[in-house]
Amino acid sequence: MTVTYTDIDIVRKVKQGDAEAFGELMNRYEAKLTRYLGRFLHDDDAVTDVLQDVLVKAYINIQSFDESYTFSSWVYRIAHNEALNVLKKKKSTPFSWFDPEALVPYFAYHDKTEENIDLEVLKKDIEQVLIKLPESYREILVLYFYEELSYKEISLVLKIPISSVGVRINRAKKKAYELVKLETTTIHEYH
Amino acid sequence: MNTINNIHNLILKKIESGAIRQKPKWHFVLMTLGIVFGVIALFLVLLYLVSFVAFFLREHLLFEALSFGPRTVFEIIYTLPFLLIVLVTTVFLILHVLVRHFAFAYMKPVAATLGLGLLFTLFLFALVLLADKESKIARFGQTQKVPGIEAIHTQLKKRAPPLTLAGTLLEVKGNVYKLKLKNGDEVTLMVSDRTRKDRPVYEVGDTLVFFLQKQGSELFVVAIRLYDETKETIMPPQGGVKP
Repeated sequence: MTVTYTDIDIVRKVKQGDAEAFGELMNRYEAKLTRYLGRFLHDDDAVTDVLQDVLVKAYINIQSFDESYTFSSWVYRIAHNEALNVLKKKKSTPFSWFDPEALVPYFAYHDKTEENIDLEVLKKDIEQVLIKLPESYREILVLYFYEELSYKEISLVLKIPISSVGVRINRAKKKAYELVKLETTTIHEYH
Repeated sequence: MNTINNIHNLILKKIESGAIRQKPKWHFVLMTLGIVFGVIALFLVLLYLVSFVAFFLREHLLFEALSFGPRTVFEIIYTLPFLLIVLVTTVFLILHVLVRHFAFAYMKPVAATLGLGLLFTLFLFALVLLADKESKIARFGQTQKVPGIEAIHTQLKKRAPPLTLAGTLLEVKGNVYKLKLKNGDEVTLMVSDRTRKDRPVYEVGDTLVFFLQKQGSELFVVAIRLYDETKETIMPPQGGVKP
């Protein structure tokens, strides 16, 4: 009979100095983080470096991890910070003036259009235009659709109110749909 | 996948060899305490600086001087406590560096720092003025002989030109006004046709404030206004004279 340990169980072992336990944590998150960073950064060379930095930082700072939260949101937060550092270095003026969604909470609302769309089709469509989306929209779609993080986890990773997560996802989807539509029209016109 | 395995093994090797070590818990506790104390200290420094600026402006009647229009603006700029402004700017620069280093949000650090800093300072400024405690806070450094702050007070007092002169009117002869100042000195001031007055006529015994402008080695009376000593405020204008 095999015993399945939770992330928190393993983290406790790591905190006590068990290096092999950290190996198990890496096993669980390496692929997920590589996928997330790959979609977010679109730069294979950078992904390897960032992944290494994220894992090293996670180990060094593990004593600061609050066990009342999930380990996944904590490690994704580190990855988010490192990825933004890379994007900052790439661009001289990376982001917009300020992020109002991070300050002003919104009432969460349910998007009914999603019920009528096949999720896999939606994911495929979005994947095509991910690179063309602004970073803030791209990242939230990656976290929600591909990493399948909950609203609460996303709010912890991005440090924005939970109510703002839904709004940003919907805005990002809307923008993605527009781009998909534009691309389809362009392809049709070309043919 | 191979690359991932390499990273995995490399990190494990580094951990086992001791090249990568966990930061102890006390490190994070100290860091949190440092941040908390830093924020409190920053708040107090900013409160003090803002209070001092507010006190300085009020003591030199600069708020009232604004009512005379753009002519006095230059004088106000001249009398601004630049040393304090440099200090505040330095605080903002430090804030900016910190925000730039630690901000991991979709915002521009410079704009965010300046915007939030400005809003915070204005809020503090309004609060200090409303609470009417600026003189107490501002004088704290002087009375307690806090190193550095006392020197700022002394320097600013030396630098500030006498923009206003308040006193009781003893005599008026045409364009010549004789005033008795608070310290007992008697001064004679000559006004010109360009001097703005808030009343057509001033009477002996009135307390007046003369706003002066330095041009070369001479002082010119820019404006005169009636002053209410009990309320420590300038009276509202009544049928004033504009040049």
